[in-house]
Amino acid sequence: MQSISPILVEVGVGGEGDNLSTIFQMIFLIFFIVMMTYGQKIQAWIMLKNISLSVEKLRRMRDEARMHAIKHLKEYSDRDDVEVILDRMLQYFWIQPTSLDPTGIVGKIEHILNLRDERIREEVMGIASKAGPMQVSNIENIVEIGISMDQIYRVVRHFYEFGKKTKSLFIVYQLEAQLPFILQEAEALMGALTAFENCQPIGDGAGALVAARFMYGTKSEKVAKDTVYADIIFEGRTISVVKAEGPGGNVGKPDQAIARLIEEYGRKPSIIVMVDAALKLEGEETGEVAEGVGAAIGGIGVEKFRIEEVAKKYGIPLYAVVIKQSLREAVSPMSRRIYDGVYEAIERVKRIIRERIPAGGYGILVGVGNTVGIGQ
Amino acid sequence: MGILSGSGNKGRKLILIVYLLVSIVILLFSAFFITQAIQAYTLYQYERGFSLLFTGVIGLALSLYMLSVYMRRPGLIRHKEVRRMVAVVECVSCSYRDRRDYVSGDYVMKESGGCPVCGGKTLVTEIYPEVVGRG
Ligand SMILES: [Zn+2]
Repeated sequence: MQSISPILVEVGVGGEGDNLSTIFQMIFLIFFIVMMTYGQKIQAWIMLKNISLSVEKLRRMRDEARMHAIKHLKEYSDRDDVEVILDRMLQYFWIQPTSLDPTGIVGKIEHILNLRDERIREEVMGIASKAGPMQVSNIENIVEIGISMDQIYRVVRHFYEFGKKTKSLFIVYQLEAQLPFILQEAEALMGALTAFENCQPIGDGAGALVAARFMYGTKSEKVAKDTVYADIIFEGRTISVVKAEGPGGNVGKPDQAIARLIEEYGRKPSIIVMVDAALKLEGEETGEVAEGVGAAIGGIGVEKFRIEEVAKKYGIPLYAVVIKQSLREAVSPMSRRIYDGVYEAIERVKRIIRERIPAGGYGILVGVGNTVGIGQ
Repeated sequence: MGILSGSGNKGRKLILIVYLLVSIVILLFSAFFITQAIQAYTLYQYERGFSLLFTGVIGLALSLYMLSVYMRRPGLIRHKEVRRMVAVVECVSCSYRDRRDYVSGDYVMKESGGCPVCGGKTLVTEIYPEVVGRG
């Protein structure tokens, strides 16, 4: 400070009057008054500026997902209207049936979701006519990611534009509070994109991997759409192991597989064990294994309902083993820790089988999850 | 953070430089005021000392806040993990286990050639990303 003080003294500060100090005090005072009166507006403006960056980022991610989908569709297609059809597909929506009269709503939801899946598969097969079934299911997954990214971008943009229009701090606050989670989810989805493109396993496939390890060495048969099963002998017990057909990106129809095994094939299982990836709470370790009872299967609830119905009808106990992971890990390439969880889950399943199925008995083991990158 | 996140690269750079200069100037002035305040207090000029100290402290707080905003500005290059995919190959009959780079076409439970130890079947048992550094 020694070096600048003579200059300041020369221009008339630091002397008797302390003019500069007074000027600065005035400036600070004005600053505070401005902040007190316009603080909220300035804050909203600053937050909107921040949000605009995230919206822009989401738009870039959406475009990237779209480009990936186009690239893969074109690879197996000789049509030149790929982009037009894809853009139509990206905005494909489904309307949830009314719950005013809830009787039979599960059937309705199932019907509409099946229709949607079929429609998307047909569109993909229509464009990528040269792709095999494995490529078709992987491209389907890539298109689904594109649809999700498009949705996320549109909704976030809607609230951003709405906040800009109304200048309402409350809307802006809500959006800003949720943005980190939304961005995290979007980034995870982009990670899944590479996994589906290269056919690598994702965290959600943990349950499917448990089933695949049990199945190894036996011939599997198709039992429902995109779903296979194999009968294995484990310590004198016969186990039907069910999983989605890999290594393409399928989740299959485990509910239909269980129903068919019991009702059409006339099998009488003493128990059904379901293995699935489950969402961990913050603070829990990735790959932690927990067990309990009930139908371990996520999604909108249709499959869960069907499995519970069958189990109730025939009085079969449902056992669940879950491998914990975050939402991000569930759609990202499977991490080393999840493999350790899978090995632990296998031991738990073996114990449950030994304890709950008498020697010479029969049971069903279902590995739930997307089986991309996992064969059988 | 928001003030520093304009679009347009050239304009943004200029804004950033001006912003940084302004915060540093305020910081220097505040330091100057505080030294002046100490001087005033040693001369028993309490009123003058208080007024200088008041200005100095507020200026210091403002400039430090501005600098913290500058440091946390969006668009700072964050180092990302560099990952590579590896595949673990295990023998079905013996304890042979090998970790190699992931090759396109690999999937878990895929048969992967003969075992170099016993000649039996090998399986790809794990495919996962490994962090190899930061870029
Ligand atoms: Zn071997």
